[in-house]
Amino acid sequence: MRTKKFKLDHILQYSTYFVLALIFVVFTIGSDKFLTLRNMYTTIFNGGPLILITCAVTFALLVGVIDLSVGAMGYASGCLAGILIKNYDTPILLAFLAGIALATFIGWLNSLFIVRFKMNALLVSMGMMLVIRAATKIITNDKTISLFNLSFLRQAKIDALGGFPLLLFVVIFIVIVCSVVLNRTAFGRKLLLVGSNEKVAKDIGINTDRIKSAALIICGAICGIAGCFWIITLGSVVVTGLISYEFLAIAAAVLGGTSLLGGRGSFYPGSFVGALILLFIASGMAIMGISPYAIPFVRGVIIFIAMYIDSLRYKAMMSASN
Amino acid sequence: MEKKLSLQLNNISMSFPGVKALNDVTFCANPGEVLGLVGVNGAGKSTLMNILGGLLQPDKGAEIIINGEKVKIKNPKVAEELGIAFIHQEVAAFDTMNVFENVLAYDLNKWRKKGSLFLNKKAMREEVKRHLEALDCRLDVDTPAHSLTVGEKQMVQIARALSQGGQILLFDEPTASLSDNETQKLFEIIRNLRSRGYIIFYITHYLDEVFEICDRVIALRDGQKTGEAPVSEINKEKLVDMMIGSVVETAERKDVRDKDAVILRVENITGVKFPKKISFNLHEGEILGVWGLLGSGRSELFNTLLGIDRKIDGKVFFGKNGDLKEVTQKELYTHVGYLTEGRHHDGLFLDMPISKNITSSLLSKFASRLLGILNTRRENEESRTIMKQVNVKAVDENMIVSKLSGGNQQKVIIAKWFLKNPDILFMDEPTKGVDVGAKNEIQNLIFEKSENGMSFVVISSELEEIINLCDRIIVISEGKLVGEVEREDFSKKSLMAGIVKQENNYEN
Repeated sequence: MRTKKFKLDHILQYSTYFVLALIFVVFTIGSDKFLTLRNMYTTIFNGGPLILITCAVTFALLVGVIDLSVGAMGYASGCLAGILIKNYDTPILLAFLAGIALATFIGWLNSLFIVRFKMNALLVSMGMMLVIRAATKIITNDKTISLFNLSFLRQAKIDALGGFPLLLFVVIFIVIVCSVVLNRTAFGRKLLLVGSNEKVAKDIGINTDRIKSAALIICGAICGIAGCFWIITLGSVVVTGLISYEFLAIAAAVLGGTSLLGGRGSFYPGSFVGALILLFIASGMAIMGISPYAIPFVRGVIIFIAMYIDSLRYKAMMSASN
Repeated sequence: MEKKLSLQLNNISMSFPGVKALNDVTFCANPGEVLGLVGVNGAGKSTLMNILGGLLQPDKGAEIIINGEKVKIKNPKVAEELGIAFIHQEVAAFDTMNVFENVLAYDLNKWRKKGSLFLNKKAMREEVKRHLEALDCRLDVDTPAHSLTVGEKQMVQIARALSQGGQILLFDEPTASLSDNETQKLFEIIRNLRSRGYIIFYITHYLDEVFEICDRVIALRDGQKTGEAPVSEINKEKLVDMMIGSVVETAERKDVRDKDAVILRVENITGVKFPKKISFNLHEGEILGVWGLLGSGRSELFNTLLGIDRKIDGKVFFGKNGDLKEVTQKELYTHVGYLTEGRHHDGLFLDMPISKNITSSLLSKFASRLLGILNTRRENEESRTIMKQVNVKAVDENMIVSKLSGGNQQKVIIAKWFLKNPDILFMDEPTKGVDVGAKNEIQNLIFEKSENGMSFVVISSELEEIINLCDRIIVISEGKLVGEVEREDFSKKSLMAGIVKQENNYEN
């Protein structure tokens, strides 16, 4: 009886991997072009913005804030960088830094409203999303900005790492850093404590407001990086950029076992694998020639399944022994 | 209203993986009798109640016979139909609704006007009024629930149980959050129900209450029935013996106060409502009790001192070796620990392992200076050491705290503060809801720490505990300091007198 229970716990614990493995098995059978190095590379490469934004929103989710402005923050960052490069001939690195700074600033604004003024996070971030989208539309006049001089970054490789693609490295590096911060540092532990029970955290002397604000500001900063990543991969700024990424990112984080209520979650495997699941569903279906309209449908079904597994996992964890 | 009820439980066993929570328990309950159910945490009381409530299914061979009929309580719905009703320990109410809506919330469909979707509020009010009057309770049915006292919320729960047709009432620690006055009121109601022929189960940790309200008592230990007797035939020692076999003795309190070294001086501290101009000194190594009825402003005193509530007026001085300096609320908080009341929601990160709970108050100790990288191995080692010190019973330090029993959860909270080792530890009801064994262990731990120089300020609603524990007690009533008693002058009378002087409406 004991061993059986033990096994069930384990299966639940690694359910995210099982889902990813299942997707790989299905699509590998479905098409011989799926399990190729090239497809792996392009999927993760093009999915970079989603992976990064998922990491960003995970920071907010860990402290119990559902931030709906993540897609828009990324978009604002990419947009500013694009305009600076195109219209003002700003050095690329400087333009990127400006974009990231803008997104970080918006993250700070979010924290001001949500943490300082105690406004409802869902509505604040949704309002923020609408404001950013409208403002950028007015500024860009709804026109696409083409950026041809970024293509070298797409091809850039790191010689020290045996020619590893630079952008892929950036994604993996950020996931690792986030993961280390969460699992190994006092700050990361405090994120979990605040998310798990804010009142207790306050009672034991944690400055909960500061931790929450920091989480939201970091969230903005990573969105900013995602925005730069996005204009590099696309080579242009389009108004529909990163639209509805907030929902994809939250879904990916939750797929990876992050709780919407805060206090539980991880970057690796959690959010990273969660994002990969959504990305590989899309790429696999595209390779098999299935209608692109079916992609959200399948993603939705996978999310339902993952949430069900998650609720089982939570029950198994919290069930009192007597 | 004479009822002909009977309840017989035969050979109830309940196995969980690895544990036998109940082992062959047999007893009967009679109408018009208050049956006390006692036992330390984890003895099986809750399991037994959950079986009656339909939340758990007993092992094969168990028999539950109600009114001569063998029944199977498959789920809470069946329990309800059989007239079994819980009065819960943690008093819950729908705060945004008023009394009558709360009482009838369990089955609103029944109260729809014929053929319409609308509720018949008039009939609802009358129904609830009827039940409240039967309980001799003068509560207005339109009072919003958020403005009710804990005791009144409990009345609402009892009224709900009765209106559901409850005949077997399970009271689970009903007085845990009640003041003495409200407790007496509740006892009157229980006696009233007893005379009307209900079967009443009464679970409690307070042994005095067993003798006050129960007719017969059943003791459980490790899932077995270890004693059954009419209350009139036993005394407290016998009852404790039935419950735990051997008692952990509380150590004799040595006076270790350094009377020259005041560590905390409070002058005229005043909060928004409570406290009102309270002043006192705390010495190094002293255990200072704060005594007062529920609602007297005890917790507010702590909250105002530590900056959780706003301070209107007053000064606080803090310093070691008699070197006092004025401090702000925030500064004081960094030197002290605060063990809050209500362990489940206010004291623990329930979904986290024991070790992370214990180290949460002192993360900086385990973090590297530059990047704040945590040394998890040392965290686990120190957690293990301190868990052994305070005797937390768990598989290992990685066990999720929600899986621990109440007493052990409380010990985890205490372990957390002992690890931080603050100069002063404020404790609000440190042993609330904890069994006798764990209670004495916790008391001994407090003694030990105070001998090492830690100072304590303790709130407790239990006279006996506060008398055993403290060197000095200050008495608070309606937010004001009304008395101060030294250990040699302690007696129940002197403390009660302190309050009675102020509260003319206090009846006993």
